[in-house]
Amino acid sequence: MDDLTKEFIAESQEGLDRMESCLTELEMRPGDSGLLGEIFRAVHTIKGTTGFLGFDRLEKLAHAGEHLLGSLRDGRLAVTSELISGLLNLLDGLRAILVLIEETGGEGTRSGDEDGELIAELTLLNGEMPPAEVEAELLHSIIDSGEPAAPVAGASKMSNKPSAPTSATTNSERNGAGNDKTLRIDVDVLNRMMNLVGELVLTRNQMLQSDMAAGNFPELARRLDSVTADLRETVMQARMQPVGNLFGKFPRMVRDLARTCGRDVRIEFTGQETGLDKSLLEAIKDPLTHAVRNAVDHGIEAPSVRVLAGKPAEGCVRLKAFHQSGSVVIEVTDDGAGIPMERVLAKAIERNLVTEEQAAGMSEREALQLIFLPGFSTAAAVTTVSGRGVGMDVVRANVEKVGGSVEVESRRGAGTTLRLRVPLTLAIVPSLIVRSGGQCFALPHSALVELVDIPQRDFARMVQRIGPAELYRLREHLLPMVWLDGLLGLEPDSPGTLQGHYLAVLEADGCRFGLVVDDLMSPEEIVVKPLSPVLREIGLFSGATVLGNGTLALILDVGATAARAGVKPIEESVETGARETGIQEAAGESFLIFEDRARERTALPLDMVERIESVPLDRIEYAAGRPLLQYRGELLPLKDQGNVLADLDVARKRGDEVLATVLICGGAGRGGEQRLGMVVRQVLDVSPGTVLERDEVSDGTGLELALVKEKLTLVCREPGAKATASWQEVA
Amino acid sequence: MKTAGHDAVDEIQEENDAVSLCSLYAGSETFGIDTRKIREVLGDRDLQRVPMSPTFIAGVVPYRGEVLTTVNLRALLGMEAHSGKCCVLVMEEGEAGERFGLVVDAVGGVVTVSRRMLEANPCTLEARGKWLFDGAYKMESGLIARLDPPKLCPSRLSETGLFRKSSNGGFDAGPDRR
Repeated sequence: MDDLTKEFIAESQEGLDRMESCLTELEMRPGDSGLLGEIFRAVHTIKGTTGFLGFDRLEKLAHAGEHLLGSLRDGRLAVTSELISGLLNLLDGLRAILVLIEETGGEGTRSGDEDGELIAELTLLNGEMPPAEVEAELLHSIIDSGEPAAPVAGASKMSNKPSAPTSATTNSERNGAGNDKTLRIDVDVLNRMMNLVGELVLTRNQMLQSDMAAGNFPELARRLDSVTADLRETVMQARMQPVGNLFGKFPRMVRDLARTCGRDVRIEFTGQETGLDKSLLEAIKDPLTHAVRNAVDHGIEAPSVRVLAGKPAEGCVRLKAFHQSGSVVIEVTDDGAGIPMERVLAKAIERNLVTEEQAAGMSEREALQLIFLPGFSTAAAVTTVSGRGVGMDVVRANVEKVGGSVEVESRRGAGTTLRLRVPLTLAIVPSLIVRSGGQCFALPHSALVELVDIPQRDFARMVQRIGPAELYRLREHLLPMVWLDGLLGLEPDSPGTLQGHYLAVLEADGCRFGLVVDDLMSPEEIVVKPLSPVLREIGLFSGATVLGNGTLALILDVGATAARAGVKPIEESVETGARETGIQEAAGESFLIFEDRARERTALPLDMVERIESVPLDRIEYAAGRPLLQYRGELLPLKDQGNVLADLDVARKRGDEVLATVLICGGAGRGGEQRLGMVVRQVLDVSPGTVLERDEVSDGTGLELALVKEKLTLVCREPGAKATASWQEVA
Repeated sequence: MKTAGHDAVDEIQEENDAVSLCSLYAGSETFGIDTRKIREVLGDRDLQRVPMSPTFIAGVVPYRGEVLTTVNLRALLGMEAHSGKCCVLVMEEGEAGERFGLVVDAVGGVVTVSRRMLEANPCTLEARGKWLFDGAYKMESGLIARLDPPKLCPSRLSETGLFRKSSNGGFDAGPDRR
């Protein structure tokens, strides 16, 4: 195929993509002449170029379409839903021919007759609008003849055939074929990349000429570091594409699906501009399509049912994309009936996925997880759209393949939310490097919940046993402990040399467990390298990476590790409890509980605390009798309500090395108020709690009390107010 | 090229009869691999062990931006692990084969031999030996067993099932080997 044809195909496909979104919009706003103009232009361009390139079949079809659009533009026809369907059929027809040209180089005369019907339909639409029966009959004939047709030919009537799944898959395959190979990049980005590469070469030249001992070596190394970082960022930027590109095809799909299923559905988007790596965008395309299809078919009820339930007849599917802590979250929300829990359970029992006793003991959260099992579908009847039971397990598998996760939330009668969480990029994963049995392993941050230090002397006290199973009591919860060296069959380090162990609390696939490692190394942004098939077969490692010191570290697949260690998904009563309270009463929030005065529990709202620091006592300085801490180039006034510093000072005079625990509070979210440190005796816990009404504790002190873990706790709401004021006086 | 064995070179009459072998050592035995099938000799490298991997996997090494899986020749032969230095060779990837490394005790040099000196595997060789060796060259100093790199590729080794871990954690070395 020559370049001209290739370019023509790429351009036409883009034009058709635009036309598709314009068409669905046109149905909403029939009077918009701008939209119509755009559609007209797309078809016209194809027609013009095809004549030039000699694709007669394409030209004929485009001509028929242009003719119809011309009448529409001149106002001789009104926009009706039949007309839009006809135009969408035209679009599919044009696309099918384009694909044929791309694959075979010719437009194919073999199925040339198929266009006749389509052209006839278009002409029919162009004439006086035919009576309803005729239209229906025509559609019938199309459906009948369309069934056994080849996929390419069938594509021209896809929207009317009751086989939307095939239409969607061929659609995605087709788009995939065209978009995978090429990528549009802003010339500015490309220029910047070139500049950076130039700088990289220059730095390399300088490095080659100077040796390690040269005085400017550190400077060169620094420059290399910054150039590499910039280059990486630029390349990433070039790979980033707005999620909107992916969303673009959904209006059409939802429209077709809604018609097939007899639903009335509107689709809304937010956050289309959210950027996502191109390869990831490709990877989540199918899962997302699946999710949207599910939302329309299973989620949204038929209009009559909706009206009976007191909801508007038109259902709504919302797609929302946003960034959250280093990953991109895409939510598919429908306002349908929600997932019927008892049917999920009944189905699971029927398909032998769980036993009846298991089902009876299941919580809502566990039951919801069942929909991710292979071979599961709750659709009452297997429709053509969905219900074949290859659904959510594929969604989950695909998303997890790229290091993401899927969550589902459902409320009876109010709808279902499916949340796909994917990392920003595949290639670079922020990880924590840990050491066990003399080897380094990387734990992806996405699975890491928290780290616990278990000193050797406290080990026996903190670790409890049931039979051979070891458990760690973490805030009154028992956490199963998995020894990494034991699991991997590594020689444990000799106990004499060890200072203790660290417990990395990991969460994957709904399992939470503590992984015991010997040491924590540095957090590092690692570049993932694939492993050879033999090593992949082990199933515990998702890849390997070269660390800063040049050695290799294996990347631990946390989900597989949990499975290997036999950790089962557990129901965390506190968490669900917290979530429920969160829904029911907004007053519940998380608190950091600490001790400042003896025997008195005080709490700070968790969002106010930035960090907890251990500071050597001699780093705390005094000015005008007030304690201050130099912290990251900032002077922090310290607040010491419980006279902890005085107590610690006594301890220091006895000659001990003393560390003070300082909570760094405030700053960013608090209207530019200066940050401050609170000296506390001991940090106790993080826990959700309920603020008591002021009336209940009307002591007039302005202090609030809260019930945290059913104990009365003083809440320090405005730790900065007083201290800051007095500090400013001094200054 | 002519360092090892002038006599051998003299014997070789025709150009296409000559084969250059890279000689390598594992234990007291000498092996040879066609030099065209070797991509690079890396020398002694720190191997990162991979827990739970088959015993014949020596570990992984970084190699030109990739993670290279290496096969331990000693383990394949059922020998004790080597203490001290070892040598990593990178094999050229074949038609469909993956790139991998081979860990041996040491690399000797390049030996030019004649095809006529090649003798097929003895029929008494057990299955593992038949898989590993591809005949032997009769040299004056002794035999050089020829290795066929595509057969040493880790995924093929695990496919054959000949080199699975035995219950005692190592290979049960055949009576003919030890």
